[in-house]
Amino acid sequence: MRNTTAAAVAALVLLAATACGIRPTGVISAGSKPIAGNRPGPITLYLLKDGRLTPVQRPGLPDHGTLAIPQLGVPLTVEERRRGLTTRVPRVRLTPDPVTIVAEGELEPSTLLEVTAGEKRRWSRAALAQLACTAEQIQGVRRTTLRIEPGEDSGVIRSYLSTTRQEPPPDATHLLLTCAAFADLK
Amino acid sequence: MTGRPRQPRLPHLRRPLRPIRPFRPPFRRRAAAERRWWLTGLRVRLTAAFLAVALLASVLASGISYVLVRRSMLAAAQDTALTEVREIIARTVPDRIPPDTTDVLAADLMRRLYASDDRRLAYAGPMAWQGPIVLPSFPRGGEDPAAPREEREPVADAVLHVPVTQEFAQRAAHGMVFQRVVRDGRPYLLIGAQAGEQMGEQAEGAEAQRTTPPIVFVSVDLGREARQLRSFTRSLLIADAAALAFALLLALLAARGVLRPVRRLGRAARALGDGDLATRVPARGRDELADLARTFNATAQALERTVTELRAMDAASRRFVADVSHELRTPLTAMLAVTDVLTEDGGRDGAGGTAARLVAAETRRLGALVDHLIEISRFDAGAAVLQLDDVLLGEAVAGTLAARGQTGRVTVTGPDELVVRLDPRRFDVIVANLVGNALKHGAPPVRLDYGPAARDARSGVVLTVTDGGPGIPADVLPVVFDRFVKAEAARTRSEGSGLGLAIARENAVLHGGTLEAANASDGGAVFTLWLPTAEQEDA
Repeated sequence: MRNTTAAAVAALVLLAATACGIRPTGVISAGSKPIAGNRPGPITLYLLKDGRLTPVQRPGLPDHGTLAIPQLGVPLTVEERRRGLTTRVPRVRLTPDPVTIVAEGELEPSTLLEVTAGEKRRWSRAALAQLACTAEQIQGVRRTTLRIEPGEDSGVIRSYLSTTRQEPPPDATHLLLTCAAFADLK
Repeated sequence: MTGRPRQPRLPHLRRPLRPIRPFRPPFRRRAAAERRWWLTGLRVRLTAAFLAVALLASVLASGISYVLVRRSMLAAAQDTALTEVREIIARTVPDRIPPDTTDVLAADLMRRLYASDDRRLAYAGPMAWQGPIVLPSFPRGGEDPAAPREEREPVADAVLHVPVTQEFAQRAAHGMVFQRVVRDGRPYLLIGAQAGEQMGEQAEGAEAQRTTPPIVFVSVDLGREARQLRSFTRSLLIADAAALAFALLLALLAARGVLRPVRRLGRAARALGDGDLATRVPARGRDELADLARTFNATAQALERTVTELRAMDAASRRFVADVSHELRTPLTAMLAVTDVLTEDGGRDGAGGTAARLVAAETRRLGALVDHLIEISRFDAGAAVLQLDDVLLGEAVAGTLAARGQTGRVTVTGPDELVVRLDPRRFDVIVANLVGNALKHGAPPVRLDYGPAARDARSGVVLTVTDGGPGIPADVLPVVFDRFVKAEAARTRSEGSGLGLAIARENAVLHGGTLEAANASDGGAVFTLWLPTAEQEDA
């Protein structure tokens, strides 16, 4: 009897010793996929249709208010191409940098959007128009500048400067864009 | 002992009867027996059973509670982690994803998963539409997953605590999954998930790839749960040890409660066996042991009553013999005198003379018988006393033989100057009885040898009487010293009283010695007397 008891106790102790602690498991299902529940408002991009500026809506991302600017730099979706839309914006990484400013003669603070192009590319007038009008669609943006390399080509920029009666910026880097200057493309 | 025996009328019977004292085992032997029981004794068995039950119960209880607590603890931790991950994914990933924003979403997801819990590491990466899923590299060169938070940045290929297998990733692509992994002895919870199906337009191939939400892997350090579990285990062990100690205490108490009456009964039974018939045990309580004690008391009482009655009857019969013998002696003495006169005065011849001689001889035999009876009743009454004296053994033997006219018929061998301290009268009775017995019932030659002999480390003398007769019949040999035993049943009318050997034996025992009978190899009877020479406590 003593032997049986000892064996039972030993088995229990062994069991307790080996089953202690947190044991690893296999892969266990924890239900269905998480449902993407966020519904941010759409963003508006200006694309070209037959050379004319056309607003197009794409889904937005939460907490990414200026998503429309980098979205200008990605290829068009199949759906947009099927609708005959094109873009002249060079395929570069566009980095919007919102700066809160208080403009002269205004009480409310507004946003100055400085856009930096990742690479040096040629910017056509239509591309500038797309960028200017898309940026102005973003909520709160009052003014938009494109940061360009000094000495960058070009007739397009010079003619843009002359049409908008802007002085060439002293360092020739920040180009102030307004959608109104491209009214002829609408 | 109820009712003391009636005061005997005779002065030599005044000593009370000695109680029967059988051999009492020395205490040392009992102690050894109890030591031998120690391992198999009731106390050990009771304690072992108690402890076994307590151990089983506490181990079972703690095992069950351990399993339950562990399950609920892990379930809580897992549910919390899963819910948080699910919520963060739901909050971060929109139902429709703009094209080419996977890396932006992945960075958002990682930042949020990192920010909310410092036990959590996260990786979010693009999800290939087809083919193997890109897994977080593990371990990334030089980076320690357990390093403090501020030293790490949530980067695209952020390292997790544990590597992710392709199987896990494949299952994560179809639903939320988790797995507990132990790495370097530390448990981790690995969670894998991908945001839900894309609503809206679903393009094919490369176009779909542009709007696929990233796959997320999260590893949560379960070290805190492991630590809590360890401290819980420690508490359980302490509680179990306390329960065992308590059980041991209870077991010892219970064993004591059972063993004390048993020991008391054992002591009482030993005392009863040693002759103390008045022994009783207290019978308290209503359990089996109390019942046993009551039974013991009843038995002891019955035994005491029976033994007392037997003793009283025995004493009465012995006293009766003694009284009868004494009453007979006085008339016998007178008769002896008268018959002596008759044999001398009466006709020396003729029928009258023969009758007178016959009467005289029978009267003498009757006198001898009565003397023997008186002698033996003194022994029975414990009234026999040794009168010790230094005796030259050779002279004593020679004197005995001479007094009975047997000098020439017995060959005596032994050292001349052996001096022994003994009762000369009783020694004379022994020798005379042995020699007389040999001469009467055995055949010549009768030999008497004596000399010093030690027995059981006690010095003493041995005296043997050997005859050349046919020896003692085998059926008589064991009872040859009993009273009125005669070798030849047919020879009822012999010279002896039938008490001689019994008296000789009583005398030897009174000296502290022994008297034994045996048959020699050549057929003759051999009586061996051994007497100690040292001082006797009985003397």
